[in-house]
Amino acid sequence: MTPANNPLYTQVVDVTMSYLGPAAERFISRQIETHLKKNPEDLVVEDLEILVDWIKVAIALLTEDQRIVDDFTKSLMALAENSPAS
Amino acid sequence: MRNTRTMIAVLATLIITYTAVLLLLPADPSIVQRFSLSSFQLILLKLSVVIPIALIWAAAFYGSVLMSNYSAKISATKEGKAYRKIALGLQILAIGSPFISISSNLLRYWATMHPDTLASTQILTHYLQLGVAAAAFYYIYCGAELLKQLTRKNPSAWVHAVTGLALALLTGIFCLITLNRTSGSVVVSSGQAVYYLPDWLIVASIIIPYAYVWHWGAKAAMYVHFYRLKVAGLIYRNAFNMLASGIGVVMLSSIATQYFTALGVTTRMQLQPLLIVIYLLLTLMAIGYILIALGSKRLQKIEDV
Repeated sequence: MTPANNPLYTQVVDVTMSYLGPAAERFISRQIETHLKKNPEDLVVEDLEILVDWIKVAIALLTEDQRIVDDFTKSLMALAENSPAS
Repeated sequence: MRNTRTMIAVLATLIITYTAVLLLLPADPSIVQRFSLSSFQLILLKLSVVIPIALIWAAAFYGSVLMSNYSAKISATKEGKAYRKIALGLQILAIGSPFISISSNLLRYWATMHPDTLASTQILTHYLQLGVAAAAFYYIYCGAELLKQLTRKNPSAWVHAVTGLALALLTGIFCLITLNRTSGSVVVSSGQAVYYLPDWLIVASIIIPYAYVWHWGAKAAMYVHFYRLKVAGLIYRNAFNMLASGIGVVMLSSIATQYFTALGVTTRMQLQPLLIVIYLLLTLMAIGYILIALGSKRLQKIEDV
Protein backbone atom coordinates (compact mmCIF):
# COMPACT_ATOMS: atom_id res chain seq x y z
CA MET A 1 0.00 0.00 0.00
CA THR A 2 1.31 3.44 -0.86
CA PRO A 3 0.63 6.42 1.39
CA ALA A 4 -1.83 7.77 -1.18
CA ASN A 5 -3.96 4.62 -0.78
CA ASN A 6 -4.34 5.15 2.96
CA PRO A 7 -7.50 7.31 3.36
CA LEU A 8 -6.53 8.48 6.85
CA TYR A 9 -3.06 9.55 5.72
CA THR A 10 -4.60 11.41 2.75
CA GLN A 11 -7.03 13.19 5.08
CA VAL A 12 -4.21 14.22 7.45
CA VAL A 13 -2.18 15.59 4.52
CA ASP A 14 -5.24 17.44 3.17
CA VAL A 15 -5.75 19.18 6.53
CA THR A 16 -2.04 20.02 6.72
CA MET A 17 -2.10 21.52 3.21
CA SER A 18 -4.07 24.48 4.59
CA TYR A 19 -1.09 25.34 6.77
CA LEU A 20 2.01 24.07 5.02
CA GLY A 21 0.96 23.98 1.38
CA PRO A 22 3.39 22.07 -0.86
CA ALA A 23 5.43 21.01 2.18
CA ALA A 24 2.46 19.25 3.81
CA GLU A 25 3.03 15.70 2.61
CA ARG A 26 6.77 15.82 3.35
CA PHE A 27 6.02 17.19 6.82
CA ILE A 28 3.46 14.52 7.72
CA SER A 29 5.60 11.66 6.35
CA ARG A 30 8.54 12.92 8.37
CA GLN A 31 6.50 13.14 11.61
CA ILE A 32 5.14 9.61 11.14
CA GLU A 33 8.53 8.08 10.30
CA THR A 34 10.45 9.97 13.00
CA HIS A 35 8.05 9.87 15.94
CA LEU A 36 5.79 6.89 15.27
CA LYS A 37 8.60 4.79 13.77
CA LYS A 38 6.34 3.45 11.03
CA ASN A 39 5.73 3.97 7.34
CA PRO A 40 3.23 6.70 6.44
CA GLU A 41 1.00 4.18 4.63
CA ASP A 42 0.62 2.25 7.89
CA LEU A 43 -0.98 5.16 9.76
CA VAL A 44 -4.09 4.15 11.75
CA VAL A 45 -6.63 6.06 13.82
CA GLU A 46 -5.03 4.96 17.10
CA ASP A 47 -1.83 6.77 16.06
CA LEU A 48 -3.55 10.10 15.60
CA GLU A 49 -3.45 11.28 19.20
CA ILE A 50 0.33 10.81 19.51
CA LEU A 51 0.89 12.16 15.99
CA VAL A 52 -1.13 15.30 16.74
CA ASP A 53 0.92 15.92 19.89
CA TRP A 54 4.14 15.81 17.87
CA ILE A 55 2.66 17.93 15.08
CA LYS A 56 1.57 20.51 17.67
CA VAL A 57 5.17 20.81 18.91
CA ALA A 58 6.53 21.11 15.38
CA ILE A 59 3.98 23.70 14.23
CA ALA A 60 4.59 25.77 17.37
CA LEU A 61 8.19 26.11 16.16
CA LEU A 62 7.00 27.43 12.80
CA THR A 63 4.49 30.03 13.95
CA GLU A 64 3.98 32.27 16.95
CA ASP A 65 0.24 32.45 16.30
CA GLN A 66 -1.31 30.10 18.87
CA ARG A 67 -4.66 30.23 17.05
CA ILE A 68 -3.10 28.56 14.03
CA VAL A 69 -1.63 25.83 16.23
CA ASP A 70 -4.96 25.28 18.01
CA ASP A 71 -7.03 25.29 14.79
CA PHE A 72 -4.64 22.86 13.15
CA THR A 73 -4.65 20.37 16.01
CA LYS A 74 -8.45 20.62 16.39
CA SER A 75 -8.87 19.81 12.69
CA LEU A 76 -6.59 16.79 13.02
CA MET A 77 -8.30 15.52 16.18
CA ALA A 78 -11.64 15.82 14.39
CA LEU A 79 -10.31 13.20 11.95
CA ALA A 80 -9.85 10.79 14.87
CA GLU A 81 -13.44 11.35 16.02
CA ASN A 82 -14.85 10.94 12.54
CA SER A 83 -12.78 7.94 11.48
CA PRO A 84 -13.79 4.41 12.36
CA ALA A 85 -11.26 2.56 14.53
CA SER A 86 -9.07 0.20 12.51
CA MET B 1 27.25 21.76 4.55
CA ARG B 2 30.11 21.61 2.01
CA ASN B 3 28.32 24.27 -0.01
CA THR B 4 28.06 26.46 3.12
CA ARG B 5 31.78 26.08 3.90
CA THR B 6 32.70 26.83 0.29
CA MET B 7 30.56 29.96 0.23
CA ILE B 8 31.99 31.19 3.56
CA ALA B 9 35.51 30.70 2.18
CA VAL B 10 34.60 32.53 -1.03
CA LEU B 11 32.99 35.38 0.93
CA ALA B 12 35.99 35.76 3.25
CA THR B 13 38.38 35.75 0.28
CA LEU B 14 36.36 38.38 -1.56
CA ILE B 15 36.05 40.68 1.49
CA ILE B 16 39.77 40.43 2.23
CA THR B 17 40.65 41.02 -1.43
CA TYR B 18 38.28 43.99 -1.69
CA THR B 19 39.60 45.55 1.52
CA ALA B 20 43.18 45.08 0.37
CA VAL B 21 42.43 46.55 -3.06
CA LEU B 22 40.62 49.51 -1.55
CA LEU B 23 43.17 50.31 1.13
CA LEU B 24 46.40 49.49 -0.67
CA LEU B 25 45.76 50.92 -4.10
CA PRO B 26 46.25 54.68 -4.28
CA ALA B 27 43.06 56.68 -4.74
CA ASP B 28 42.22 58.46 -7.94
CA PRO B 29 44.11 61.79 -7.61
CA SER B 30 41.24 63.69 -9.25
CA ILE B 31 38.83 62.47 -6.54
CA VAL B 32 41.26 63.35 -3.72
CA GLN B 33 41.72 66.80 -5.21
CA ARG B 34 38.02 67.34 -5.92
CA PHE B 35 36.95 66.57 -2.34
CA SER B 36 40.10 67.97 -0.65
CA LEU B 37 40.70 64.83 1.39
CA SER B 38 43.68 64.20 3.64
CA SER B 39 45.28 60.73 3.78
CA PHE B 40 43.54 59.98 7.08
CA GLN B 41 40.16 61.17 5.78
CA LEU B 42 40.62 59.02 2.71
CA ILE B 43 41.27 55.90 4.83
CA LEU B 44 38.21 56.68 7.00
CA LEU B 45 36.10 57.16 3.88
CA LYS B 46 37.24 53.83 2.45
CA LEU B 47 36.56 52.01 5.73
CA SER B 48 33.14 53.63 5.96
CA VAL B 49 32.31 51.98 2.65
CA VAL B 50 34.07 48.63 3.21
CA ILE B 51 32.32 47.74 6.46
CA PRO B 52 28.68 48.15 5.34
CA ILE B 53 29.52 46.58 1.96
CA ALA B 54 31.03 43.56 3.69
CA LEU B 55 27.88 43.23 5.81
CA ILE B 56 25.67 43.41 2.72
CA TRP B 57 27.73 40.78 0.92
CA ALA B 58 27.52 38.58 4.03
CA ALA B 59 23.72 38.94 4.05
CA ALA B 60 23.59 38.13 0.32
CA PHE B 61 25.79 35.05 0.76
CA TYR B 62 23.76 33.95 3.79
CA GLY B 63 20.49 34.25 1.87
CA SER B 64 21.84 32.47 -1.21
CA VAL B 65 23.33 29.63 0.87
CA LEU B 66 20.05 29.08 2.72
CA MET B 67 18.11 29.08 -0.56
CA SER B 68 20.64 26.69 -2.09
CA ASN B 69 20.42 24.30 0.89
CA TYR B 70 16.62 24.47 0.84
CA SER B 71 16.46 23.76 -2.90
CA ALA B 72 18.81 20.78 -2.42
CA LYS B 73 16.57 19.43 0.33
CA ILE B 74 13.44 19.54 -1.85
CA SER B 75 15.20 18.72 -5.13
CA ALA B 76 13.00 15.67 -5.75
CA THR B 77 9.77 17.68 -5.46
CA LYS B 78 7.73 19.57 -8.06
CA GLU B 79 8.91 22.96 -6.79
CA GLY B 80 12.52 21.84 -6.29
CA LYS B 81 13.67 22.80 -9.78
CA ALA B 82 12.17 26.28 -9.42
CA TYR B 83 13.90 26.93 -6.12
CA ARG B 84 17.19 25.63 -7.53
CA LYS B 85 17.10 28.21 -10.33
CA ILE B 86 16.18 31.03 -7.92
CA ALA B 87 18.99 29.95 -5.59
CA LEU B 88 21.46 29.92 -8.50
CA GLY B 89 20.41 33.46 -9.49
CA LEU B 90 20.87 34.64 -5.90
CA GLN B 91 24.31 33.02 -5.76
CA ILE B 92 25.33 34.78 -8.98
CA LEU B 93 24.21 38.09 -7.41
CA ALA B 94 25.99 37.30 -4.15
CA ILE B 95 29.30 36.43 -5.84
CA GLY B 96 28.92 38.90 -8.69
CA SER B 97 28.63 42.05 -6.55
CA PRO B 98 32.00 41.71 -4.79
CA PHE B 99 33.61 40.48 -7.99
CA ILE B 100 32.47 43.63 -9.79
CA SER B 101 33.56 45.88 -6.91
CA ILE B 102 37.04 44.38 -6.92
CA SER B 103 37.30 44.41 -10.72
CA SER B 104 36.10 48.00 -11.03
CA ASN B 105 38.59 49.21 -8.42
CA LEU B 106 41.44 47.38 -10.17
CA LEU B 107 40.34 48.69 -13.56
CA ARG B 108 40.01 52.22 -12.18
CA TYR B 109 43.55 51.99 -10.79
CA TRP B 110 44.79 50.65 -14.12
CA ALA B 111 43.13 53.60 -15.88
CA THR B 112 44.77 56.01 -13.44
CA MET B 113 48.17 54.55 -14.34
CA HIS B 114 47.31 54.34 -18.06
CA PRO B 115 44.94 57.24 -18.83
CA ASP B 116 44.57 56.19 -22.46
CA THR B 117 42.72 53.08 -21.26
CA LEU B 118 40.07 55.04 -19.30
CA ALA B 119 37.32 54.51 -21.85
CA SER B 120 38.09 50.78 -22.25
CA THR B 121 38.12 50.16 -18.50
CA GLN B 122 34.85 52.04 -18.00
CA ILE B 123 33.21 50.11 -20.84
CA LEU B 124 34.47 46.80 -19.44
CA THR B 125 33.16 47.69 -15.96
CA HIS B 126 29.70 48.52 -17.29
CA TYR B 127 29.49 45.30 -19.31
CA LEU B 128 30.62 43.28 -16.28
CA GLN B 129 27.81 44.85 -14.25
CA LEU B 130 25.32 44.16 -17.03
CA GLY B 131 26.52 40.56 -17.45
CA VAL B 132 26.17 39.73 -13.75
CA ALA B 133 22.75 41.39 -13.50
CA ALA B 134 21.56 39.60 -16.67
CA ALA B 135 22.72 36.15 -15.53
CA ALA B 136 21.34 36.55 -12.01
CA PHE B 137 17.95 37.94 -12.96
CA TYR B 138 17.55 35.42 -15.81
CA TYR B 139 17.85 32.45 -13.44
CA ILE B 140 15.65 34.10 -10.80
CA TYR B 141 13.06 34.78 -13.51
CA CYS B 142 13.18 31.18 -14.83
CA GLY B 143 12.71 29.83 -11.30
CA ALA B 144 9.87 32.24 -10.59
CA GLU B 145 8.13 31.29 -13.83
CA LEU B 146 8.30 27.61 -12.86
CA LEU B 147 6.65 28.49 -9.54
CA LYS B 148 3.93 30.39 -11.36
CA GLN B 149 3.33 27.36 -13.60
CA LEU B 150 2.76 25.23 -10.49
CA THR B 151 -0.28 27.34 -9.63
CA ARG B 152 -1.78 26.49 -13.07
CA LYS B 153 -3.02 30.07 -13.17
CA ASN B 154 -1.80 33.40 -14.50
CA PRO B 155 -1.67 36.86 -12.96
CA SER B 156 -4.53 39.06 -14.09
CA ALA B 157 -4.22 41.25 -17.17
CA TRP B 158 -4.18 44.46 -15.15
CA VAL B 159 -1.18 43.25 -13.10
CA HIS B 160 0.69 42.59 -16.34
CA ALA B 161 -0.40 46.01 -17.63
CA VAL B 162 0.70 47.90 -14.51
CA THR B 163 4.05 46.07 -14.44
CA GLY B 164 4.57 46.74 -18.13
CA LEU B 165 3.68 50.40 -17.75
CA ALA B 166 5.99 50.85 -14.77
CA LEU B 167 8.84 49.20 -16.68
CA ALA B 168 8.17 51.30 -19.78
CA LEU B 169 8.23 54.45 -17.65
CA LEU B 170 11.43 53.45 -15.89
CA THR B 171 13.12 52.50 -19.15
CA GLY B 172 11.99 55.69 -20.84
CA ILE B 173 13.38 57.85 -18.03
CA PHE B 174 16.59 55.80 -17.99
CA CYS B 175 16.92 56.27 -21.75
CA LEU B 176 16.31 60.01 -21.47
CA ILE B 177 18.78 60.47 -18.62
CA THR B 178 21.45 58.25 -20.15
CA LEU B 179 21.40 59.81 -23.60
CA ASN B 180 21.00 63.33 -22.24
CA ARG B 181 23.89 63.12 -19.75
CA THR B 182 26.32 60.96 -21.64
CA SER B 183 27.98 61.29 -24.93
CA GLY B 184 29.67 59.12 -27.50
CA SER B 185 32.64 61.43 -27.05
CA VAL B 186 34.78 61.56 -23.95
CA VAL B 187 33.64 64.68 -22.14
CA VAL B 188 30.29 66.36 -21.70
CA SER B 189 29.95 69.86 -20.31
CA SER B 190 29.37 68.64 -16.76
CA GLY B 191 32.43 66.43 -16.60
CA GLN B 192 33.34 62.87 -17.51
CA ALA B 193 31.14 60.83 -19.76
CA VAL B 194 29.71 57.65 -18.26
CA TYR B 195 29.67 55.04 -20.98
CA TYR B 196 32.28 56.20 -23.52
CA LEU B 197 30.20 54.74 -26.32
CA PRO B 198 28.36 56.22 -29.32
CA ASP B 199 24.65 56.76 -28.65
CA TRP B 200 23.50 53.94 -30.95
CA LEU B 201 25.78 51.49 -29.12
CA ILE B 202 24.59 52.78 -25.72
CA VAL B 203 21.02 52.07 -26.84
CA ALA B 204 21.86 48.66 -28.33
CA SER B 205 24.27 47.34 -25.71
CA ILE B 206 23.32 49.16 -22.49
CA ILE B 207 19.76 50.53 -22.49
CA ILE B 208 17.99 47.68 -24.29
CA PRO B 209 19.80 44.90 -22.38
CA TYR B 210 19.16 46.62 -19.06
CA ALA B 211 15.50 47.09 -20.00
CA TYR B 212 15.32 43.35 -20.64
CA VAL B 213 17.13 42.56 -17.39
CA TRP B 214 14.71 44.74 -15.44
CA HIS B 215 11.86 43.03 -17.29
CA TRP B 216 13.15 39.68 -16.00
CA GLY B 217 13.52 41.13 -12.52
CA ALA B 218 10.05 42.68 -12.48
CA LYS B 219 8.43 39.51 -13.86
CA ALA B 220 10.34 37.40 -11.32
CA ALA B 221 9.11 39.57 -8.44
CA MET B 222 5.57 39.47 -9.90
CA TYR B 223 5.53 35.67 -10.33
CA VAL B 224 7.04 35.03 -6.91
CA HIS B 225 4.45 37.33 -5.34
CA PHE B 226 1.69 35.65 -7.39
CA TYR B 227 2.84 32.22 -6.20
CA ARG B 228 2.75 33.49 -2.65
CA LEU B 229 -0.88 34.61 -3.10
CA LYS B 230 -2.01 31.37 -4.75
CA VAL B 231 -0.02 28.74 -2.90
CA ALA B 232 -1.83 26.84 -0.17
CA GLY B 233 -0.65 26.97 3.43
CA LEU B 234 -0.87 29.88 5.88
CA ILE B 235 2.56 29.25 7.38
CA TYR B 236 4.20 28.43 4.04
CA ARG B 237 2.79 31.65 2.52
CA ASN B 238 4.14 33.81 5.35
CA ALA B 239 7.64 32.43 4.77
CA PHE B 240 7.37 32.97 1.05
CA ASN B 241 6.13 36.57 1.51
CA MET B 242 9.52 37.61 2.84
CA LEU B 243 11.32 36.01 -0.10
CA ALA B 244 9.04 37.75 -2.62
CA SER B 245 9.54 41.12 -0.92
CA GLY B 246 13.30 40.60 -0.79
CA ILE B 247 13.58 39.84 -4.50
CA GLY B 248 11.57 42.97 -5.30
CA VAL B 249 13.71 45.22 -3.10
CA VAL B 250 16.97 43.80 -4.50
CA MET B 251 15.70 44.43 -8.02
CA LEU B 252 14.75 48.02 -7.12
CA SER B 253 18.16 48.71 -5.64
CA SER B 254 19.83 47.33 -8.77
CA ILE B 255 17.78 49.67 -10.94
CA ALA B 256 18.52 52.58 -8.59
CA THR B 257 22.25 51.89 -8.92
CA GLN B 258 21.98 52.06 -12.69
CA TYR B 259 20.11 55.35 -12.52
CA PHE B 260 22.81 56.68 -10.20
CA THR B 261 25.45 55.74 -12.74
CA ALA B 262 23.51 57.12 -15.68
CA LEU B 263 23.13 60.49 -13.98
CA GLY B 264 26.91 60.64 -13.77
CA VAL B 265 26.37 61.98 -10.28
CA THR B 266 29.80 60.93 -9.17
CA THR B 267 31.22 63.67 -11.30
CA ARG B 268 28.88 66.39 -10.06
CA MET B 269 27.79 65.94 -6.46
CA GLN B 270 29.45 67.20 -3.30
CA LEU B 271 30.89 64.58 -0.93
CA GLN B 272 28.13 64.64 1.72
CA PRO B 273 25.16 64.14 -0.66
CA LEU B 274 27.21 61.56 -2.54
CA LEU B 275 27.73 59.53 0.64
CA ILE B 276 24.03 59.84 1.50
CA VAL B 277 23.07 58.44 -1.91
CA ILE B 278 25.58 55.60 -1.57
CA TYR B 279 24.38 54.66 1.90
CA LEU B 280 20.72 54.84 0.88
CA LEU B 281 21.40 52.40 -1.97
CA LEU B 282 23.43 50.16 0.31
CA THR B 283 20.65 50.19 2.93
CA LEU B 284 18.07 49.31 0.28
CA MET B 285 20.18 46.39 -0.90
CA ALA B 286 20.79 45.23 2.67
CA ILE B 287 17.05 45.25 3.39
CA GLY B 288 16.39 43.17 0.29
CA TYR B 289 19.04 40.59 1.08
CA ILE B 290 17.96 40.34 4.73
CA LEU B 291 14.37 39.68 3.64
CA ILE B 292 15.63 36.98 1.24
CA ALA B 293 17.70 35.46 4.06
CA LEU B 294 14.76 35.52 6.52
CA GLY B 295 12.34 34.03 3.97
CA SER B 296 14.81 31.30 3.06
CA LYS B 297 15.37 30.51 6.73
CA ARG B 298 11.63 30.12 7.38
CA LEU B 299 11.22 27.86 4.34
CA GLN B 300 14.20 25.79 5.46
CA LYS B 301 12.72 25.49 8.97
CA ILE B 302 9.51 23.98 7.59
CA GLU B 303 11.60 21.14 6.15
CA ASP B 304 13.70 20.68 9.29
CA VAL B 305 11.09 20.32 12.07
